[in-house]
Amino acid sequence: MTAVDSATFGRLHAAWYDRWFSARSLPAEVEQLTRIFAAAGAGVGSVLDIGCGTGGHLELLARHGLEVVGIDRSPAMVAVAGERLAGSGVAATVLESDVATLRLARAFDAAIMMSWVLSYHVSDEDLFTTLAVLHRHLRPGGLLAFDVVDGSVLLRDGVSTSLRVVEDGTTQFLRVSEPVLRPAEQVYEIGLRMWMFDGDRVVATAAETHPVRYFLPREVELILHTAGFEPLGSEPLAGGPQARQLSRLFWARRP
Amino acid sequence: MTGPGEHGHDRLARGADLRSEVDQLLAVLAAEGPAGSVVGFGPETHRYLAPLAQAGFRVTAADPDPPAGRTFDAALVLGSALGGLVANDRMLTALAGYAGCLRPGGLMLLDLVDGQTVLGARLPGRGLRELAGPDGRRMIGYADEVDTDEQVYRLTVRTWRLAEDRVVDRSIVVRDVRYFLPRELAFLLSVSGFELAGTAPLAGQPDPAWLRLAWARKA
Repeated sequence: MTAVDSATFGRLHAAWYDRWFSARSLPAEVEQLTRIFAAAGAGVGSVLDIGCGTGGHLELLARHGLEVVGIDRSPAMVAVAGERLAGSGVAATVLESDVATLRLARAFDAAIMMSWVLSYHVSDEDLFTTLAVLHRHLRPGGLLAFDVVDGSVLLRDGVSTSLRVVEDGTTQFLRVSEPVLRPAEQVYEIGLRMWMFDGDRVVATAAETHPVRYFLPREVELILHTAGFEPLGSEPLAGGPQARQLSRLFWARRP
Repeated sequence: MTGPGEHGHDRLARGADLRSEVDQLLAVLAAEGPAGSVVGFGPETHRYLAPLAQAGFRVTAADPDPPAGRTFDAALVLGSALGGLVANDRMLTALAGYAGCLRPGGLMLLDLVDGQTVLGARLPGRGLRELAGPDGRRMIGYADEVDTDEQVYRLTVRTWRLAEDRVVDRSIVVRDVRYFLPRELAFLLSVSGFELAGTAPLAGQPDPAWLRLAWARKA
């Protein structure tokens, strides 16, 4: 097998990201977000997307007539998102930045952080740094929405290994997900091993470990309250598998 | 035989054993440094104070409020007294009160429902017990569930008192107790002026332990 550097696989991963996660429904998630924005009566016209990934939420929010700005720290993701948005003809801005150092000279009506971005903040320190950045980039009365790993669902159902194979012509991607729980740390660690085959040739291999923190609902409320937000509600993220929706959406207001 | 009905409806796990719980409290108090005075909070805590007094501690029951102006070396918050408050704002208020009657460095001991076990294990609190007494027969029915939206373990206890072939009395008590995950608890304590010092399965319970004992030091 050929070992390749992580930057190469980073690009491959970004390019294939939307297919890895094709089980979810971005339109359903964006419908849920816009419904929550409307119900909160906050008059949302602009949205900041932290950890925008390949820009799927940005594109759909822009189609709803919202002004959108996306941030991601992965150059590969920013490149894919830029191409997607340029191709779709909607107006959106995508910037490469780490959230911790983000300083935009403006405030937004709403901020979103989807795809477990907050769950990737395993330490309390990182969590509150990011929440402070979000607080700073929201106008008073602005809304925050994000999804995290739902500890209730995870602990009830347990974890299991899964294999996903995606094919495109002569190219095959394999991804094995081998998760473990680290209960004392409240961490769900997803070990990923990936292979890319082209015909009989092994093009790339990679292994990644994704430690994500899971939460209970009142725990998230306490964290939001401590970070200066007013919790407004939570529900399972829309569009996922009905039987095992590991993602729970929370929303809150900056007072 | 012990069970939820023996010590009140909020004994969440059958097999709870007062003597081994007290031994565990004594071991933690001994390991965590000098403690001579102990204040107990919550209606269930009084059961622990008498054996602690026999062990040489000066004990005071906060009934419901602690004596004004005094501070103690240790505070007991048992019988799921904290989890029974459920909401964050009520817990923060209560924790500020517990902190207020501890000396700096004083120790708080509390029991709580372990979220990991509640969510992952079979629910323990179901069934029916029949008791015969001088005033007739009693039937006590237990039912429990986990409400994940509310983050509570809900125990429902129904009681019927029978005389001959008549039901002469009946009652229903529902109690919600919030369960916690470990970092959630550590964070709740830290924003309340405590530092979590340790946790262990509460002694005297069947495995897996539904209740944990936690101890935290006032910062």
